[in-house]
Amino acid sequence: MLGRWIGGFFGSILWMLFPSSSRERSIRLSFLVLLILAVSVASVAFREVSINIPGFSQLDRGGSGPLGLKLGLDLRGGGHLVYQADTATRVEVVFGEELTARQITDAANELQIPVSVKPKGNNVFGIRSDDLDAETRDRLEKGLKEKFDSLQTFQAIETPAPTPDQMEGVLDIINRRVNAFGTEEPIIQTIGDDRIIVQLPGATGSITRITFSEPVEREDLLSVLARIELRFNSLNQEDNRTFKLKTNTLSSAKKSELLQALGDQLGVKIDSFQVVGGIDEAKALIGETAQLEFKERTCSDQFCLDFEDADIGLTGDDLERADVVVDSRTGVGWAISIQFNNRGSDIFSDLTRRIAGVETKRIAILLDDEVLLAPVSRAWIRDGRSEITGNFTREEARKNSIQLESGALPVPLKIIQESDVDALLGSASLKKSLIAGMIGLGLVMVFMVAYYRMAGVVAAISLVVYSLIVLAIFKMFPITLTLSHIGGFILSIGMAVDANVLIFERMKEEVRIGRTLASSMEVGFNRAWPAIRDGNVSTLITCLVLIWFGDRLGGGLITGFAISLAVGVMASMFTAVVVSRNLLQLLAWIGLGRRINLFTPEGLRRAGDASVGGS
Amino acid sequence: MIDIVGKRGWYFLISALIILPGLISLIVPPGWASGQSGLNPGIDFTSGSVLQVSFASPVSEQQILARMNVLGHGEALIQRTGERSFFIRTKLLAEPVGDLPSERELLEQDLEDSFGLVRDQVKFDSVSPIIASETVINAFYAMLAASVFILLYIWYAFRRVPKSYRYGVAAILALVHDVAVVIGVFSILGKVLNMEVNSMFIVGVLIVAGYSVNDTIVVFDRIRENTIRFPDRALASLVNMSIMDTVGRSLNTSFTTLFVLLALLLMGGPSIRGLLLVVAIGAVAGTYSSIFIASQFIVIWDRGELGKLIGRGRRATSATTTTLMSLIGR
Repeated sequence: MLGRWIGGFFGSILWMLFPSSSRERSIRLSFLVLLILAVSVASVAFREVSINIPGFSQLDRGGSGPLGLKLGLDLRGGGHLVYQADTATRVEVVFGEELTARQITDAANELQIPVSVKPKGNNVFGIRSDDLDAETRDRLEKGLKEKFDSLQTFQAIETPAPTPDQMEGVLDIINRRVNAFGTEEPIIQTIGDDRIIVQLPGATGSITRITFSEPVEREDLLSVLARIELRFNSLNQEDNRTFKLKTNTLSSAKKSELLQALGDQLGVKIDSFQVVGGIDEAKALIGETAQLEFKERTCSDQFCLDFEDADIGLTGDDLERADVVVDSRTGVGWAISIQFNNRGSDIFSDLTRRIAGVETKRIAILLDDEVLLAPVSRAWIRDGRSEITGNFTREEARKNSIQLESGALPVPLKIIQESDVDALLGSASLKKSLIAGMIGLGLVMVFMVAYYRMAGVVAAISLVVYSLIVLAIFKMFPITLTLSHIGGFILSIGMAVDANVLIFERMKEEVRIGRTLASSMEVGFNRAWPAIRDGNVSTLITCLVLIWFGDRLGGGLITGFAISLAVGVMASMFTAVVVSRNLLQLLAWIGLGRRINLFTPEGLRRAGDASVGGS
Repeated sequence: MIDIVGKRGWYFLISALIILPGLISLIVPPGWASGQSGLNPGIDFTSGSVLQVSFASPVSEQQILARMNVLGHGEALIQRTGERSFFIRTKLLAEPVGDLPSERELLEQDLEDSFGLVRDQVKFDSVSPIIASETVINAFYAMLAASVFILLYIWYAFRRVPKSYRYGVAAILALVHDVAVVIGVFSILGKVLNMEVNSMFIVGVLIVAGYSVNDTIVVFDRIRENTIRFPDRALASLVNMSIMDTVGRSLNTSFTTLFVLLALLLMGGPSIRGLLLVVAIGAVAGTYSSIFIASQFIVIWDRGELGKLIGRGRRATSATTTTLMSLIGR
């Protein structure tokens, strides 16, 4: 069935375009090929491709690899994060009055104890510090008591070292988050007893956007960068106050060094200093504890610039699932559907009954105390099923749903190292292999030309077209290429060459039994087609099975191979059916057709003993 | 015309001689008999050690890898994390034995002497496998499922030929043959040359499987065509004719494949050599099996020689050999 369907698919392209004269058909096909070729060349030639058609979401393509392709960890490298289980002692404090986290931080700073304070209610706070031994704790407790009379409890909570089971759990959740986001073949390993390495392809580099309060000379900025020995890839000036600096991934130490240096040495106030980069996105995705909380937010006005969050006892544990769905209200765009368990549904029902339609109320969804989303409530929802809308792109909706769903980490983590890493297979070694591969492919083309003459030239041209189409698909999809993708690609190149060889061998046979070149081409092609079709269809079947398995069993390796092989096989059928065949016919018509020796010299020589191939 | 079909017993004997040692190597402990893979698992599948190191002066990945090779850790995966810092994964480094220093100490000492390793900044840890070993089993199941579908497709695609399911079975037999050759050879290489299999090996086996089926179908396509064209001829002679018809293409395709592999092997980087070896062995096996296994199997089945082969094979390997010998004797 599939065979007939695919055969029918290509056949119908041929039929649709040209039912009548074959010459006319050939000319129209040539235009189709040229169009596809032009699109492919354009998408491969420009490093960064950006397409913006009104009504569709904008398409931006362009990776860091050659030709703007996205390359995986093994071929290109990426971001490297090391997390450590955070076993620092925490202190929970309860006051008899309402305070802000700021007030407590300031009080601790006066005692010269660096802390981070997280509010857990209006009068309850969690205090964390890297170095909170018994003596410092006493000092902190005394200090806070002096400052705030109302201190009621001061309780130290020790976090024990994680068990191997817990680390396994952490590894599992990080794996789920990263894989659910569709990152191609990340490396996630536990290292030592309490750490985890996460290596993500492509997640490298930082973009720092700095806005000064008054104009700054580019030269001055450059001299600051030179002084702190910060190497950068590019420095773009957006206007006379704003600069965009592209660097390798900046560690947090380097970030604060840069900020400090800019403030000290330029003598100009900095309005904003923003660092974004692939690795930051990854960090946000993984989270540090992945602690999810739902709170009731009360805004001071309808714009919600000032607000206060109140605990309602609803956490990630109460959330059963979160999925990406099409916005059911408008029918366009993407939304996140969420479903709570029984307990969660009750609380949610109670919350939405109170705040539905209230202009100054929001539902604040916090991940690790950072606001993830803060939607308004439109209706009283009694069954715990809801949809969060907000003009999300599909990517955004997906990312948010992953963050909502995948659960809290059993152990809090802290990042202890972040940097870029080089290709797993060594970039120098890969460069050599790439060149060798090109030479190998070149040799194949030379061989084809030597052996099949003009037909070999046609094969070489269609191979180039084939490669361009495949690369364009890889880039525009986009597919992050790893070695297993290259494996699939190479096999499909082999099959593309083989398809050409099959056609030419059949052509030769037909020439030998005395047909004209034009009819040999037609008959040769028709004879070769069943073998090409069956071979390719079986390969496509294999690919589908492998993709199906890979998706279910989490084998990125298997899926990668199968996807690129499937893309390659489809492109190779197209080039064999359309490009090679058409080029041959064009050659025949422009008069080269009568010179059979240009195509199959030995065919003429052996024209006498036709029995070799035939009967 | 060369009589290829007449010597069909020989081909199975040759394949058996290549596959059996590999199979034995896969089964004897440490192998399937003791619940292991029979292959030498590489760094991707095993726990290992990581060293985070930095050097006083600039050094390249290849230089470090060359030293690691000398120290018996050619499997090391070296990633640059900074101008002079690297992240090195190796197999589990051996603990100190008696008075001998530990492998880690030897390694650090050597890297210090060679490139100026800053020893007090070395961070050393154990690390879990990169790829869960289930991936291998998954790949196996996926291939099994794919085989069933390929068989069904060929059965359908060859429906105009009598008993077309036989072609499907034969194509899968050739596939199993090729994969068995590759896995067997690597099992032996793992024991003799300590060659390891890593994730690239899985990719390689998938390539071999794809190549095998594609190549078999080309020969079968010709048998299909000739069977329809000359319905009164005996299958054996049709198969022989078809093989002769396609031998030019078969050789051309496998030569061009080996060509590219050779270019990559000679000029390419060292990191993908394992993959190239898998594909090269598979390409040869794939071309061989299309002509000498899959097509001959059709003839053997057609002439009812199959029962003899299987019936005696069940008793002992020597019996199979006797059968093969009797086939050769024809």
